[in-house]
Amino acid sequence: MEWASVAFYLIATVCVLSAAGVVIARSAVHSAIFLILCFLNIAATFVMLGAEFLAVVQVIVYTGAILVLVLFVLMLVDEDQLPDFHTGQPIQRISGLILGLILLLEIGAAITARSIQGATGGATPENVAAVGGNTQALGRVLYDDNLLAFIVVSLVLTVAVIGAIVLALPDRRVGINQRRGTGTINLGHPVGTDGIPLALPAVRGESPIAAATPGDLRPVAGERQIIMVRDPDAYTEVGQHDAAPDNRPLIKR
Amino acid sequence: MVDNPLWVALIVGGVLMFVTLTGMAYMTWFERKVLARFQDRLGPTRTGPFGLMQPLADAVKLLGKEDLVPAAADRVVFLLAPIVIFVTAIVGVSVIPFGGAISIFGFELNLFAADVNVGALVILALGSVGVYGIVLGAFASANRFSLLGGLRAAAQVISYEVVLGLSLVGIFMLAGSLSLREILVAQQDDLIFNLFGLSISLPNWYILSQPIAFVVYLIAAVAETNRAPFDLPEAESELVAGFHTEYSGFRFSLYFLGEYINMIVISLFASTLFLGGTDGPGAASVWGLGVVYLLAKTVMFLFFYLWLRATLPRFRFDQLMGIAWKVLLPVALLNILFTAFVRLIANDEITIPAWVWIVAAVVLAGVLVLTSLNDRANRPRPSAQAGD
Amino acid sequence: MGLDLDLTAPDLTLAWPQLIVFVMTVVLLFADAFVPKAQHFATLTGISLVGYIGAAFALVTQSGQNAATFDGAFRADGLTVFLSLIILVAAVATVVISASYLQNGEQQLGSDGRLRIANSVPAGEFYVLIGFSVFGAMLVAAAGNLIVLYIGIELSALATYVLTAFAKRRLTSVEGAMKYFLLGLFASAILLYGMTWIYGVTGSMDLDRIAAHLAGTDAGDGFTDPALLLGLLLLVVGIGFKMAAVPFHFWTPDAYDGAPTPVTAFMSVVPKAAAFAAAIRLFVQALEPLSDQWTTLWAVLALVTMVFGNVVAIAQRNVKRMLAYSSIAHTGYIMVGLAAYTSGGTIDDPSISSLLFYILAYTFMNIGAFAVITYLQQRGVGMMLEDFNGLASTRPLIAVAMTLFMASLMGVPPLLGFYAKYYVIVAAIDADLLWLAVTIVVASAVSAFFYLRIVAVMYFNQPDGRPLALPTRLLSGGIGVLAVATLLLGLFSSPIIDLADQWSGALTVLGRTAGQ
Repeated sequence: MEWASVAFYLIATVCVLSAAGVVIARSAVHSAIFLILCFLNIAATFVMLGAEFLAVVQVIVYTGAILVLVLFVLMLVDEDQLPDFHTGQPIQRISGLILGLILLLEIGAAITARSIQGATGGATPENVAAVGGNTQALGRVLYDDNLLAFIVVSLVLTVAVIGAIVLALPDRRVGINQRRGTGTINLGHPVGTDGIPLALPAVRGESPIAAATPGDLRPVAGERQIIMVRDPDAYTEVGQHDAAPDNRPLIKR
Repeated sequence: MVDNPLWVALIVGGVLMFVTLTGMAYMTWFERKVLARFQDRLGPTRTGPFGLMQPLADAVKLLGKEDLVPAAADRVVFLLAPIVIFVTAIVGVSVIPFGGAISIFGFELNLFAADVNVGALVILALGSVGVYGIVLGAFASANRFSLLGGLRAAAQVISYEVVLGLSLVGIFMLAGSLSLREILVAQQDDLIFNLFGLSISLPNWYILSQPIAFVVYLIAAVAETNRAPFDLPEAESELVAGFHTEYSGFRFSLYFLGEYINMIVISLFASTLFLGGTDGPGAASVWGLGVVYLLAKTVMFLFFYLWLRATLPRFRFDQLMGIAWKVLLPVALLNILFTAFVRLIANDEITIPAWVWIVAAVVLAGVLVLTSLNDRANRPRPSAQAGD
Repeated sequence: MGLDLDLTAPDLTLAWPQLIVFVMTVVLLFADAFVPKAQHFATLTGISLVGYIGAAFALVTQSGQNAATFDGAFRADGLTVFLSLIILVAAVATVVISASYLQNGEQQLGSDGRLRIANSVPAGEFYVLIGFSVFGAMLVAAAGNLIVLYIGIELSALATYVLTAFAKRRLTSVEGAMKYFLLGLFASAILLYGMTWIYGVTGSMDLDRIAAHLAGTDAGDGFTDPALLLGLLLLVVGIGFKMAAVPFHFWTPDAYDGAPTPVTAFMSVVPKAAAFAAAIRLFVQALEPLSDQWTTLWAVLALVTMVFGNVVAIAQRNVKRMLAYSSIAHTGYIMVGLAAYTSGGTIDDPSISSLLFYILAYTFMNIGAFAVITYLQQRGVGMMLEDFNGLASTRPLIAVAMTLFMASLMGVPPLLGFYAKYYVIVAAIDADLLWLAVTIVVASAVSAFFYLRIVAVMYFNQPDGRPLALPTRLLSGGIGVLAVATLLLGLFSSPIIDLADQWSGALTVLGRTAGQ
């Protein structure tokens, strides 16, 4: 018993410290590493509570999959382009700290002063042992009491997949030809608009681009029409109702 | 079965660790010998009889090398990353059962360090944590080649872990447990067929009842351990050496150790799950024969690894991802469905009315027809292809 | 309750309406892949409309029923019926008004005076996501335990986040979606944490069991357990985020403004209806013994929300943003219904019925207003106030419809919005919340300024000769139907209120109102 509590306090301390590290660390990758540590310790806590299945799933799903993806993205992004997590007015940081502490105090007070208690559920140690262990018990609860939720969660994942595909797929109207065209000469931001700029061989020593007037169409192979040059309007991404100067970047630095 | 007291488990674990490390050392020797034979060479011959001292010489060489840390590296992460992969690899051995209770010097003890009731998942979890050794090492090296290797490793391991896990679900359903020991026990039963009045008795090894899962597992396991032909994270020809370009000396050897121990663990795991582990003729009666069976099966898997490496060219990265998501994953899922279905029918837990069969057949045929029509409609015309 | 495996099949006949929507969505998913291009759009629109209307008919056959299945996780009672009907009405209206948007995409007016398509929208995914969102919201309305409630909210919200970013080439759309997504997740986390506390102190996920457990303790008799109160507070914050109540409304203007207009119409109603469904299920059904505490909280929030929403809306010149703040203000009016709940769970308590009626009325008039904006957006310009210049002379019928919607949102008798406000005010007065009733009246008076401004621009300004859209028949018809409903439905409000009164069936499954 003593050893178990020593182990618990050790795990809990590391867990809390690494959670603090997530917030304090300057580099996003270091934050992610602290988060890994935190998750592993949470898994260890689950083991101490006798929930081995949950612990292993925590490691496989959170540590092994989700955080690897987080690191994946962090590695793809130049670290200088990530937003700095530690800017902001001192007053914001202090007020945030104070609010957090108040919430922590409230939670502490709620834990220590609570008086009502729920009825004991079905998963008592005897019942769990009777069905063959923690994993079996979890299976029974999932496929019996929480069947509906279990089914619907799969729909949530389906929606997430559909959403990811919708948002990540390039516009259908931009075919491979067009993408290659935009890759040859990039005159701005033409993806998703109604034509493609294309470099044609110079005629009589004159750049075809310079010679063309905005909106100038020229037929190439087949009946395909190509816009030679477009007016700036076609390239500037302006919100439909926002004036141009208010074209703020998504992430403020 | 007896429960190991903590100190016995520690001793067993220590012995296992020692054995695994030695095994790993001779795995490198084995690899060099086998590869040499494939290429009609001799391999190491000078150090000791048959070159048997070669691993020792390699170790001395690796330890003697300078431990370099690149100037731009993220120092702490760079130093810690190799340890992660080594530790996660070697911990995996602790849940492999090498047999039941035996009696040594009057002690009853179990031949495994820990009987975790989710043992199979522990191995998968360790594999998924192990990838951090690669990803973080790659990130900390501050080297483009390493970074590319790390990205490849991350994508590869996540994809193949899904396949690896799903390929095992059929076994879990048949055994009714996630505990490796119980899976082992379940395989010691006999599988008796009645074929035209002829009673055939086969061992209940899951390779017989789950052959599709076995193939899927075998492919995914190779990818999970980053071995050829799926060794894209460390492809010499494209990425110099991938994630460990900047590592040298002892830290490099940790990666090296990690990779080979991973192979050994995955092979032990495969032998336990599919080939009956310690099961074999006479294993129950002769002392120690079970362990020999297990090791023999493991060496067979390891040889298979080397065979692959000697034979197959490396995959392209999009092919690698395509195999995982478009081939192996659907196959593994179908295998799960099929297993569940057969189990329910065989145990008479459900009876299926005839109309369900008819509806299912119609739906299946409809889906097939629609899919093929759709494929045909979407197939690019030859002229369009030429235009691209 | 041990761990015995009870594998008896759930009674799916109770879940017909939800199943129809689900099957329809799956059919859409396949139809999107397999239907040839020429019939693509018409087929998908047809499937959606048939699915939603079929589900609505299935719902109507269920009215008067009080049953639960899936071990109490799924409820088919009066509350389910009424809320699901509202959600289905919103879904049908969204499908109708998004037709022209999906066919033509978003258009931009270039400097050469020609219209350009700036965003093309994949219709299949649009309908599928709407379907999933509707399914999630209906599940919230039918939820019988905390987990299903939460997952329903998430399903509904997740699809809406994606829909918000559907015009992904437009920066405002992505920005709005990003804010909506991050704050929505934050709110979900808070909500979930609150549920954890409630589960922790009551030991049950089932809403009725929670209520029974709380009624058995002394929680109701003026004693307040701090853990329970903390959970209650977190739930109020989480739900407040979802329904865009005032201290938690920051995402609303940007998300409403950035989203494609049909999506804005959808998300101003369905997630809100889901949030109120969750509020009724959580507070009225499960935490009823704590009603003294939460009615106070909701009353204060309602006051702040009404005042803030109406005051800030005055300053907006962008009509979509103005309607965003207006919808915040309407959230405030609806919340009054929640605040006016009087403990005891009496059947003839008008508060929840008035709330439900208000959401229904809000559905018609708000989607109507956004439908008119969708119509105008086809002109290739934005949604600024100036774009309404002289609409009365160029498109007189549309101008009349817009006037109706604005007047109804304002609460002019005898339109639908007036009756909705009337019932809420009556409920507030019944609950001795005179100050809230007065605030509703004052806030409505303030709101007249910005609603009538649009009407004035339409009728008194000269048209500025911008190109006009080609009207889509479906969209024009939809605006017409919504306008007629706004005009006439108020006059037939009493059968609707009767239907809404059946919400109290939610309280009777365990025989609580009868027994305790």
